Amino acid sequence: MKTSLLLAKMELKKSVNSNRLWVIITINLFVVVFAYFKVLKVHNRITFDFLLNSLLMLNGINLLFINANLVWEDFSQGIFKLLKTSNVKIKEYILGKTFFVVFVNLALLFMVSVLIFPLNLGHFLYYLSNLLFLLFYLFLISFPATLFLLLLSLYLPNYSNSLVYFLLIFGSVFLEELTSGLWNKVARYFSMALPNLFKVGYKLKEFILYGKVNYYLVLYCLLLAFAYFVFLLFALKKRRVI
Amino acid sequence: MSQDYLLSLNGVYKKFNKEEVLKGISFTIKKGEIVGYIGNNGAGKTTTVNLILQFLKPDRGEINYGFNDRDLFSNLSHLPEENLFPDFLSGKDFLNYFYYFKTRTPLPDHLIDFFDSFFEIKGYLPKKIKSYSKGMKRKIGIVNAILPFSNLIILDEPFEGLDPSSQIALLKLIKEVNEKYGSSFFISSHILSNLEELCHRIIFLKKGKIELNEKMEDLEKRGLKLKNLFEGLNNG
Repeated sequence: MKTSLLLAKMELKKSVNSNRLWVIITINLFVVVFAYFKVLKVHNRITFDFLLNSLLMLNGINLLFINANLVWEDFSQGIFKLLKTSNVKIKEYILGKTFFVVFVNLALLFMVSVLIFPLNLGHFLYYLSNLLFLLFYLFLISFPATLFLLLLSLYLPNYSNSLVYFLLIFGSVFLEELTSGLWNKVARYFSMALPNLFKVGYKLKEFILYGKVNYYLVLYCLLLAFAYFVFLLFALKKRRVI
Repeated sequence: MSQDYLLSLNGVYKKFNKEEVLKGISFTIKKGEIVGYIGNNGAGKTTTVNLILQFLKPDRGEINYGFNDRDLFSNLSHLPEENLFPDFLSGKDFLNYFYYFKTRTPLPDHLIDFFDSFFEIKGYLPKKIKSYSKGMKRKIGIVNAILPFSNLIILDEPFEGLDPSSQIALLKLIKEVNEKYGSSFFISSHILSNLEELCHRIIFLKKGKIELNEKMEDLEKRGLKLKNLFEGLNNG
């Protein structure tokens, strides 16, 4: 565990150093400020919801994008070899990356929550409730996502292949696509159900209402999953496992 | 340890595409030995190192370790040919983190003092690695490779980028670690004079085959200099 935390700390230092985090924080601030003005002007809850949900999704995409980049950099710069010969186990490595994504996402969400607080207590609660789900969600998603990216990296036919780099980045967006829909549904369900916490029937109804499957999304994901499967088979034949 | 060797390669072959890079090489490294590995560019030195580190698998032949295979990187450490670093870290963080990864214990101060007596690294440790010169990066890499005093330390071109005084310091450091901590060294280098001064045994690799594997004292008894021997074997 301590090894994974140290790895996460390393990633944080890398991100701060390369200004990636500052870009995300700036985007967040910009969108929140924009949301302030929009809401104050039109008092439109839908616009506000839309903006903030977009923000949540954007952060998720950004962080998975960064995560894909970090895994890629570890390979292209040989850091992964250095970690491997320093006795770092694969599971510790993946857990370290997962911790990083979870920490940063939580910090961003907390920042947005605090910014929203003076504006609307309901929204603040909505965002704060997301924190709890996010913790669960990110562990559920980020761990296999990192494992997936790592597997891709391990089986890459050629590290300098730009097509593979593109697939890595594309893969992170795909995973986000796969999960953000689900996440939004769960978060929305939770926020709606929060004032009715003890009304089980209401919760069930909401779950059914918001738990509907987007068939286009599923089809899209299945097609992409198939493409990945073919790619992995191809890559497996080309390269030995490290 | 039941075996009398730390590392043993038996008839190892490795092919990349259709080109056979290693053609059945065999050698052993015993505990406490310093072995020099020399050869021309493209002879297969780095491939050998990658095979030992299990980054590659041999097509044929065996690589056996004198310790539990599962604990490979508790017993073996490595300085890569290139300076591969998380250069966004300070030197101190880098050494602290990687020492912890290897040993799961914090890095004691007296070890920093030990290496400082050879390389004068203390003043650089608070600075980020990306601000270091090439030689300083090499030094911090060497310290990181040697630091846990593993049973077997593999150094790939350790003298590259070091000024003469640092090269002398490195020779002293390797000798002291070998004597004090009993670590064995497998050093791949082109600097023959340094290897001559340092090594107990020399292995010469030519086009994927081992042309020479002899103790330095035997070569000295026969009055052979490494430079002349290298020229002779290379042309022969």
